[in-house]
This record gives sequence, structure tokens and C-alpha cells, in this order.
Amino acid sequence: MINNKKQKNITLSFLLMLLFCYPIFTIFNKKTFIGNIPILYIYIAVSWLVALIFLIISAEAKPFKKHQKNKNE
Amino acid sequence: MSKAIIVVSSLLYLLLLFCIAYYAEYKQKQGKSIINNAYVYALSLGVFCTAWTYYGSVGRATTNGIGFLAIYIGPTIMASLFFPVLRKIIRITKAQRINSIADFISTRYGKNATVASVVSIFCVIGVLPYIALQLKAITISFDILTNNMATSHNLLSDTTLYFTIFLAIFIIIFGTRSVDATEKHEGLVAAVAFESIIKLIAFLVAGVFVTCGIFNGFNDIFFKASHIDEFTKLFTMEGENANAGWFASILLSMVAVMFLPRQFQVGVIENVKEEHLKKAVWLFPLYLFVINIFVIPIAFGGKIIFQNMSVDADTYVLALPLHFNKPLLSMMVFIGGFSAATSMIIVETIALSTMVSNNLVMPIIFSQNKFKNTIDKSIQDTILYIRRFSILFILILAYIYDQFVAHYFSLVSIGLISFTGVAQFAPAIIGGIYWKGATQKGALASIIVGFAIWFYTLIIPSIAHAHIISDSILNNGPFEIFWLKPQALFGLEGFDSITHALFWSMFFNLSAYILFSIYSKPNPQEVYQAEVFVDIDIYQNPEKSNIWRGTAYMPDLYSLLENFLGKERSKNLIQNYAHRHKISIDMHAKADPRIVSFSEKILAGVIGSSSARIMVSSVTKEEELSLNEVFKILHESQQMIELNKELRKKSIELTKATDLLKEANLQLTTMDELKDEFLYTVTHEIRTPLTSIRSLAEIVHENPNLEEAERNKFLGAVVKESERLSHLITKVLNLEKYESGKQKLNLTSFNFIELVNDLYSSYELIAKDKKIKLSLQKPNSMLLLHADKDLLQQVLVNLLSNAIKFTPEDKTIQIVVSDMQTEIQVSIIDAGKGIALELHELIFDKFFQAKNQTIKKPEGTGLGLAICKRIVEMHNGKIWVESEVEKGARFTFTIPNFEA
Amino acid sequence: MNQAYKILVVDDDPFILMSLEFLMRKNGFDVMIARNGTETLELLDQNSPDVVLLDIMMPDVDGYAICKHIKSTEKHKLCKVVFISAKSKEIDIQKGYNLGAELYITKPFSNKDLVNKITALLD
Repeated sequence: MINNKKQKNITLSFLLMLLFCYPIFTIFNKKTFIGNIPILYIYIAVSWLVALIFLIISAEAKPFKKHQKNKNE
Repeated sequence: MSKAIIVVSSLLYLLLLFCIAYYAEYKQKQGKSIINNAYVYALSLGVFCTAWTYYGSVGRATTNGIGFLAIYIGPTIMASLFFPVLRKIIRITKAQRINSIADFISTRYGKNATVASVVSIFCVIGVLPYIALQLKAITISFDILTNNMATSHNLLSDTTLYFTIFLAIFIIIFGTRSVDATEKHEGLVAAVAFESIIKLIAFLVAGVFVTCGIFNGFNDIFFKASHIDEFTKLFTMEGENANAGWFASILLSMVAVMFLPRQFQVGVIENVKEEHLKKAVWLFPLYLFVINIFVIPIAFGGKIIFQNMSVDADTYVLALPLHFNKPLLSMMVFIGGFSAATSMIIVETIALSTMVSNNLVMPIIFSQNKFKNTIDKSIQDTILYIRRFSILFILILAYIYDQFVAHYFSLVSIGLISFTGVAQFAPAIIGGIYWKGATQKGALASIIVGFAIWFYTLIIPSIAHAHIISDSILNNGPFEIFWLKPQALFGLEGFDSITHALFWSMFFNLSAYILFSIYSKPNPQEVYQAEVFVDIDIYQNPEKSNIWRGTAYMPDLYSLLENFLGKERSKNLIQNYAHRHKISIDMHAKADPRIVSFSEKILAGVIGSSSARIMVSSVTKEEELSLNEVFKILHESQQMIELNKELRKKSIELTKATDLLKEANLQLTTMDELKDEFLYTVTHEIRTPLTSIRSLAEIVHENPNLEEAERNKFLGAVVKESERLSHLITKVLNLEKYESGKQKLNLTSFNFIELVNDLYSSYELIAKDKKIKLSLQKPNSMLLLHADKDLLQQVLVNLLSNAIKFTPEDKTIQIVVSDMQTEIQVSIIDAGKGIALELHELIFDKFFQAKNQTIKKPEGTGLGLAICKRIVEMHNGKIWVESEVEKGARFTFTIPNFEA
Repeated sequence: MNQAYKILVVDDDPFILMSLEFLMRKNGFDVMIARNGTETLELLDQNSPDVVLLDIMMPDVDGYAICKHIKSTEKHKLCKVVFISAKSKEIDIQKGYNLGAELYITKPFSNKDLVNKITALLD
């Protein structure tokens, strides 16, 4: 269970890295606008919120408690 | 706005901080710590956002667009690694009573004093400008608010100086309460968390004001911005290698959010409970997100409003409300920036001063021979004074830097320069907690090389820009060596200086780290520490394993501890420890090695592990442990822990096994009882006919003059009962045969329909006798079956007899035969009393009869059904009943039909 | 000898009933037969027999309950209860006696033995 959580965490961070970096980034690094707001800005804002949601899910998942139990054994 | 108002408000605010800090400490004494709270913890991490966030981000946004955001996205990504990485660091820190980042690194690499001092010095060098930046921000914001255009300040009338002194007092009071530096600074953390809230609110209010008050929402700002030429380049990230710069910033901030001394302080050392991490993982990134929402609007808005004025972009957040004559709002913004700056100063100073006092000042003092021999009571006070002095020292240094040195350098990049500096610790720390092969020499090499490159690629250019040294070094390289140009090392061009510096420093840093670690041998202490760090989850409490060997005497140890911790406290600590680990202490004799290790650990909390090492070795005679011995000890303790786990597992298994055994025993006893009952019932069934046979036969025998009719009646009964008896015995024997598996199937191929027809004709007569109708439904063709003909006949006979026995007159019994391709299905439907649902399965149970002998037996029960079930199941078929009380019963069985 | 004692014979097996009826009649008893608990109680009330031969395992009410009833009813205080049952375990026999039965005879039985015992009981 511990390893599983660790792997999940690392995968999550990699995904987040991908989200915010080259090459996905460059897709949005263009001069297009939604409303008047550059698409890059919107992309970053949205991705950030998505990242937050992932973080909330990953943190509030039950496995942490299990790990606690393992630690106490 | 008048100077007095601002000064007074600021002082009031600082007073408020004081009160909060006092309140927090008061609560903690009562046992109700308010910092023992996940939200407070997450907010305290917000100290990451300093005046640089508050003012500098806006400035950067006007020149770089959204590039500034990388600094906050990095920590967001890092948050996902909080659990593996940060938690491990926290565990190690707590277990080893580490009190600073320098202490952490030095402890990991053999509690080495050199490492500790090197890290401390570099921290100071790297972070001092950053502190100065905060002071500068306070000064500038103050000036703007008072509309002070003067560019030079008289020392005595410089309000910043007074603020600095006030802050120093605050930090001294709340930061040096106890000698033990691993104790939580309740007041400080509470104040910092509070300040995180204040700066967030202030910034948000300013943002809302700009976005909705001055302009008409986000869209409006962008709309207006798009009309200004300069802006167009800000909408995307331009420039060659913008991606690299962005990526580098993300990486940098990922490292900085954990290893900046202030972040390490609040994130690791001040952490009260591991569980608080859970909230921090998302709360902190959320905080970062929210505080940055309005940066772009303020930046763009400011640029739009001030496009033809020379207003420094850094100050937009303050200048805008001022420009629109909102004094109250401006005040609020000022306080917000003030709190952002002060929170950074407070935490960073504490962190740095701990390092300076523990690793720089104290070792020097303690190694003075005269001092070693005259350890006395006043050491505690000495330590505290050294700490306080360090605090003042750092703040004064920062002030001087700000006043006299800072304006030679570009302030904008100071933050990032600090980040890059702190990043040099990353390999040593992260490698230290995951790679056992990392050695002290490797760590030292890594840090020194990293810092050297950092200095060369970042600090030198700044100095050159300020013309303190000739700037030809920038253009032509040192001594005209082109490929050593500080900003284009080895020809790497086109990157901004930070990215460039990060790349090269990390490259050399990591290489040095790995190379030196591989090629150097660690001493036993290092090996031990490596094990205990990397495998913290196994060793959890390093108290359990002990690698100290030598001679030490309790009195010496006691007096050493007493000096630093006081008589009462040291006595309690040692006695508790001895009690926990069942060591007997003789106050005047030799000390158990475990006690010595423990004492060293306690001391480390006060003066740092390297100094503690020195102190303890000064009162003991230590024997060097060989590497083998270290491994042996570690191995043993590991085994102990493994054994413990095994034991616990086994005992759980044992309990489970015992429970299973009990259950099985219960089953067996029940089975036994059931068997007894069965036998008992069977013998009863046998005895009953026997009774009438015997009695009637005796009557006939004793009464030769019996009437013929009566004699015939009696003898007839005897015959009948004998038959009944015989049948019963046969049935029981049959059942036994099936049960014990002795019954073999005699398989032949025959036409099942023929069998059914024959039986039908025989039973038709019997049924007619009893005035019951018998009907047969069957497929037209023949049904070839490969089975035991006799046994199947027995099944049909059993079921039919039961049906006839219990069906009343004038009712019908149906026989239905169906060909289901893979099996044949036979149903016998009677119109008897029916069988209650709960008995549907039980009636096939041979035990059923026995158990329920005294209750009304439903129709069809008897060994017959049990035998039918056995026969059907031997053919791999199924048998069951569908019935409701008073609605008759439908008995069905299936026999698989394997047609070739 | 017997002055026409009234005897109630209870058993759910018709053949045993047949033989007991003959036996008792032959020996001068005034015999009534019952096949189940309901009939037993009816005949009991109507005729107040002197002896009841009780089978235990019967479909509706078991012999024990009937014995209990007899022994606790004022009217039947003088009625003697004789259990005749295939239940031969010690505890079953003991239970019978605990309920106040005068005699407990196990099946199968010897006719002579049965008659002698019952006669002795009534003397």
C-alpha cells in the first residue's frame, strides 16, 4: 500500500509537469484569445485548477490512514 | 498621507502580531496549542509569498507576461510530492531532533561540523539579499505612501531602521524562549499564519478594486491592454528558449519551496503533526492560486493607467489606489505588503540565526580550550545570548546590505538568485534521503562546487554590472578566456542568466556529488546515519539501535546535560528514557551506551548535532566502531524490528487458527450429535415394526384358540411389518452405500422414455385404486440416456410413491419429462399439503428426519428423498422442489445427457 | 384379579395398537384406544381411566406432555401412567419418571412381562 501511494504521487507529479511544460505548453503559447484573454493565460488557470483537484483527491484518499496503521504496527 | 499615521498604524499592526504571538504561547501552556492545526500549518507555508510576491510579481508581469507564475506552479507540483519527500524529511527531523537545514545535512553526513558550517555560511550568503529585499520593499512602499521623493535617508530618521529594530525585538522575544531549538515557536508560527491571511486579503481587495472598481472586469482590462503595443508581446511567452526559462523557474521553485531556510523552518521543523501534511498538499497550492489571481489585472491595469507616467511597475498595487484617492485602501495594501515582508523576515531570521549560532558561533566558542574545562551553569544563558546576538547580527547585516549595497544590484532577480543558491542543497538532501551511497565528501563537494558555479554565474555578473569590478569579464571572460564567460559558460548562450546558472551549477553539483560519493569511503558514523535516514520507516525510532561504544560516566553526562538543559529537565529526560528502555541507572557508575547516544541526541536539539558530538566526546572516551560492527548493530536492530513484526503477525494468525479450530470443533460435535440422533431415530424406526411383530406373533403363539379371522389379521400384520422393516433396513444400507461411495453407477444406454412409460403403466393402476389421476407429458421421440437404469428407476419410484401417498382423492399427479438438449428434466407434480419454504432444502437431508422427529413431518420426507438426491448427484444432475404450503409440490430433477 | 379396570391405550402405530388392545382385552381390561394426543385427551376426560399406556413419539402432542397433563389434573389424580416407548436412553426414562409416571417400558417388549407389570401396579 505504501509503495502504491508513492507511485501514485510520483506519477501525479510527472503528469503535472507535463501539463505545465513543453510540449503541451507550446500548443497554447499562441496569440489566440477567448473573449479578450489570451489562451495561454486561460490554459494555465484551468490547468492549475485541475492540478488542485487532483491534489485534493490524492490527499483526501483513504490510503493515508492505512499507511498510518502500517506505521504503528 | 502623513508619516505619523503610517508609522502608528504599522506599530499597531506589529503590536497586534505581538498579541497574537503571546496568545498562542499562552494557549500552548494551557495545553491547547493553536498551531496544532492543519490549517495553521498550511497557512504558515504561505510565508513563501513575500514582498516579492506582493510587489515584484506585478513588476515582472509587466515585462514578462505570465512568466512570473512559474514560481507558484512549481510548489503546486511539488505538493504532490509532499507525501513521499516532505514527510520523510519531517520524520527524520523529528527522530533525530534536527533543528535547521544545515543540521539536517550535517547529521545525514556523519554529524560533520564542516558540513554544518559550510551550509550555514552559504545559507546566509544566499538569503541575506533576499531579506534585504523585504526591507527595501517596506522602505519603498512607505515612501510612496508618504509621497516622499527623497532618495537618500538620514540614518536616524529612517523609519525602516526602526522597523528593523522592532522586528529584531519581536523575533528575540518569541524566537528564543527555550534553549532547545527543536521546540516549536508557537507564537511565531501563529503570527506568520496570521500574516498569510492578512496579505492574502489585502491583495485580493486591491485586486478587486482594480478589476471591478477601476475597470469593468477581466475582459475589460485585457481589451484595453490589447490596444497598447507593448502588451502584445506579453500575451505569450516570447523569446528564444522561453520554454527553458519557464521550465527552469518551475524546477527552481519546486526546490525552493522546501529548502529555503524559512520554508524548511515552517514546513519541517515547526511541523507539529504529520497528518497536517494532508491538508497542506492542496491548501497551500490553493493559497498560491488565489493570491495570484489578480496579479495580471493589476499589472496590466497599472500599465494602462500609468502608461505615460514613470511609475515603477513593482509599486502598482499601492500606486493605483493612491492615484484614485483611496487612502483607506492604500493603507490596507501597505499593511498587506508590510505583513508579507515581515513574515519573511521573521522566519528567515530565526532559521538563519539558529544555523549561525549553532554551527558557526558555538563550535568556535566550545572549542576554546579554556571554555571546555569550565563548563558551568551559565551555558544555557550563553547559548540564548548567542542566539539573540545572531538574530540581531543578521538583521543588521540585511539592513546594511539594503542601504548601501543593494542599489548596486538589480533587485528583480534577487529572489531567483536566492532560489538558485538554495537549490545547490537539493542533491545533498534528496540524495541523502534516498541514496545510502552518498557520502560526506560527496555532499561537501556537491555543495561547494554548486555554490562556486552559482557565485560565478550569478553574483559576479551582478557585481560586474554594478561596476565594482570591470565588466570586461562579462564580455570577454576572465583573463580573456572566452568559454569561461560567466553568463555563457562553455559557450552556452541564449538563455537567461538564471536558467544558465541553474543548468551549469546543477550539472557540476550533481556530477561532483555522484563522483565524490562513489570514490570516497564513508566512516561508520556516516554509514549509520545513511541507514537511519534512508530507511527511516524501518528504524522509525533510532533510539532503538545504538552505535556508541566507549566509556562514559553518569555524573559527567549528567553535568553536561544539566548545563544546557537545566537540572530538572535533564534528569527527567534521562530517567524517562531509562524507564522506557528498561535500563538501570547507577548515578555514580558507568553510563549505558544507549544513554550516551540519547544524551547526544538531546543536546543536538539545543546546539546542533555537530556541536553535540563535540561536547559529548569531550566527556566520554569513545571507541571507534569499525564499519563491520556498525553494520552488525544495524542488522541486529533491523532483525529485531522484523522479528517483532513477525511475532505480531503470527499471533494474529494463531488467534485466527484458534477460532477456526473452535468452529470446526463445534461443527464436529454437532455432526456427532446429528449422527447420534440419526442412528437413534433409525433404531427407533426399526424398533417400532419389531415391537408389533413380536407382540402380535407372541399373541398368536399364546392363543391357539384364536379366531381364524383375527389370527389372519394378526399374522398379516406381522408379514407386513416384517416387510416394512426389511425395506427400511435396505434403505438405510443403500444410503450408507451412497454416502460411503461404495455405490457404483452401472451405466447403460437406454431409452429413458421407455422407462417412464413402464413406470407410468404400473402406477396408473395404483393411482386409480386410490382415485387419483395420473398424467404424463413427454417428448414424442425417444430419449437416449447413458445412466444407471435401476437407480433412476428408484428415483422415479420414490418420488411417485411419495406423490401418491400424500395426494388426496380426485386430484391429479403430473409427470413431465422434457428434453433440454444438454440434460433431461423430469418433474413430478402432486396436489398434496405442500412444503414450507424453509424446509425445501432440508427435506433432502438425511439428517433432517432425525432432527425433527417430533414435529409434524411434511409430506415426502423420509430417507427416500435423501437417496434420490444421492443418485441424482452421482449422475451430476440436480434435484429440487418448488412448493408452497397447501399448494402441492413440484419435485424436479435433471440428468445431464451427453449425446455424442 | 382385575375388576374390569379401565385402560386407555395410546400409540400412533396401528399395529402396535392392535396388539396392545387385544392383549389388554384378553386380560380383562376395559380397553379404549387413541391414535394421537387429541383423541387421548378426549377419551381421558370422558372416561377417567385407571391406567394409561402412553407412547411418547406421536405426531401432534408427545407422551410427556400428556403425562404432565394427567398428573397435574385433579380429576385424573388416581390415574396411573405407563410409558411404552422405543426411546430407551437413560435420560428419556428418567424424564418419564420425573414427570410422575408409574412405569416405563421400552419397546420391543414381552407381552407377558408387560401384563404382569401392569397388573402388579394395580394391585
